Amino acid sequence: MRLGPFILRRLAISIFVLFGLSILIFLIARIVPGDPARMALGPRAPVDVVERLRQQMHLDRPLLQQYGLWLWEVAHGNLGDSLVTRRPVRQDIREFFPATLELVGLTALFIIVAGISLGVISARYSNTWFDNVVRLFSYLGIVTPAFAWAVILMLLFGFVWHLFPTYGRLTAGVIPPSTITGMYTIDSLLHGQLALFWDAFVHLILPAIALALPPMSQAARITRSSMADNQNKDCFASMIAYGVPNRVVVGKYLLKPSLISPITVMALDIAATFGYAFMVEKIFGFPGLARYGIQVMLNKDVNAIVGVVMVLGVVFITLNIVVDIIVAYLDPRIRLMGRSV
Amino acid sequence: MTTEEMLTSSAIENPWFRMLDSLKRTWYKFSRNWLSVLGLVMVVTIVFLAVFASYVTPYPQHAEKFVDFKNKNQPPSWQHLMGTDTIGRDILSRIIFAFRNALLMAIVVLAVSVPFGTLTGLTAGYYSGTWVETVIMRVTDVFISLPPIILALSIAAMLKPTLMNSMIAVTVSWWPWYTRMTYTLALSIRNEYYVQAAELTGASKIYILFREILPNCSSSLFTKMALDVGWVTLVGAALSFVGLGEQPPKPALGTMIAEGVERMPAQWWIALFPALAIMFVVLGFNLFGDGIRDALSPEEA
Repeated sequence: MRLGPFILRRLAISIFVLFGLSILIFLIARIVPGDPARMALGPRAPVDVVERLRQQMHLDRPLLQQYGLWLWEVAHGNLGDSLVTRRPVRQDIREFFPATLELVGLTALFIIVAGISLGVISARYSNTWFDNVVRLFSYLGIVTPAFAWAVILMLLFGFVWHLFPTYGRLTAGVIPPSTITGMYTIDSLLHGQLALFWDAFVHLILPAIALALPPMSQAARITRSSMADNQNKDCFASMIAYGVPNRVVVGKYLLKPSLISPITVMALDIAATFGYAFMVEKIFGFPGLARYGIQVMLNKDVNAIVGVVMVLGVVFITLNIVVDIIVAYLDPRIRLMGRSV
Repeated sequence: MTTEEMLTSSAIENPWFRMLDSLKRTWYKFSRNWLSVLGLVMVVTIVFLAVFASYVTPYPQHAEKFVDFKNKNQPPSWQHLMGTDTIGRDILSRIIFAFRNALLMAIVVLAVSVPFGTLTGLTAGYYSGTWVETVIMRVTDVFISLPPIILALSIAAMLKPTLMNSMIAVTVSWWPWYTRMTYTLALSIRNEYYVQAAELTGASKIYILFREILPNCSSSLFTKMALDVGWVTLVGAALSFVGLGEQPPKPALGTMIAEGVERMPAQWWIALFPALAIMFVVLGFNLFGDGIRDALSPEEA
């Protein structure tokens, strides 16, 4: 199993992509019409103040030099000051990112566990009533965007049945746990505060389900069709003919090749979840990175936008590496012959 | 030669007749699945409503600036099928007018990103192994490393919030997916015997790219385009939800949801119906797109 060289090559490609992404984001931030310093300070700021900010942001240098200086700072973890909150962008992101990570983490868990198991069961019992119900609901799930689900779930569970809270990260007045990771559920567990953990957890459920439903349905559909394609192959028929137990056929042999395409799609969907979290967090009043992102976007806070997108870019690229390694592990053709996915 | 044989031979030579014939066959396969037909009906309904919005809506004057405080926050009734919003505008009328912008956006985005993506993808696929492929595909990789919704949000954030700029933002994040798809298709098609045969007979590169490879990508392209009308609408709604798309008082599905969410417990209809409208658009174009895929795929289902 030559996974080592594969991982190394994959990492090299990612560094290249990250570098390209930094150019792309830099260009987006600089080539747009208007002067970032002027936009940040507003139309009524005096000229000399704007000029000072321009110098601070290196806007008076040539574009290539600007990029070099900017990259140097970013490589040292310095994303500049937010022009709106007047705090270092890094500090803002560190404060808001854990909340979003917690939400997306739970969403990812829902997507992976529910998506794959629904798909597997539905493929095993294909063309039964269970399969038909799953197929119908997965279609509805895919076409209903996360923010529409958020509105529907909020109505049903928050206001009709009163089962789950629909606002914020904690019940009003509850003191958050002292920060270790910034994720309330994990912090409260580390402190042994079970009641607090439960409070933070139930606040996550509705937004996480809203975010998870479309990708989860997609994952279930793809798992089902991929399993259905594979299970008609002769090798599985002969395994069953030889009397290999069904559990082994499915769990050991059928699942592995069938999971490749669902995993690739799920990774893309989980990455996109950060984007849809922008809307869902706003609907549920959840103070995460996405809500911070909206705020800075509406205020044209260039440094902060670049910071947020850069952080998300790093998250996606890491996610992609992880997925490629999993897929390479599952599919020997990729890891041995170096075929890209 | 009987008359029947003469008819068929002349029919086969007539390209219009052949096109009509294949269209007929495609329609036959398409209409076998009632879900595809339902999708087509939904798509036609949406397009019809969008085009004739000023004639079919009950209150066309409510589309933009309009205030009627006497009728504000009315729940759904026979007068206002989907209720009215916080300043008394009919929500149904505003949704129908919002379809107009949503469709316009989808058309503009696809009209730019499909040709561009297809051309770059074809070129990269045909020149695989050369620097052309490397340059095109590595640039594409960078764009694809961010999901379209995030890239579109960040580009729109830098520009002035208008419908035009949100179209630009979505287009920039949409083309690489067409490049990637055409590239993968072109890579596999260029090894087919008919392409090799064309190469051997001395056909030009342009001829091979556009007459041999492109037509064989077309069924995948059409399918993706049909599906993407729904997805572009969705991303456009996401942009306007955040406040980066069409600005009020112009109607946009995302803006309407955002306004409604603030009145959520009591006036639920303000947010719910625009959300269902987006669902309707995405569902319609998905069913339609899946139908096209089934109808154009060569193997029997």
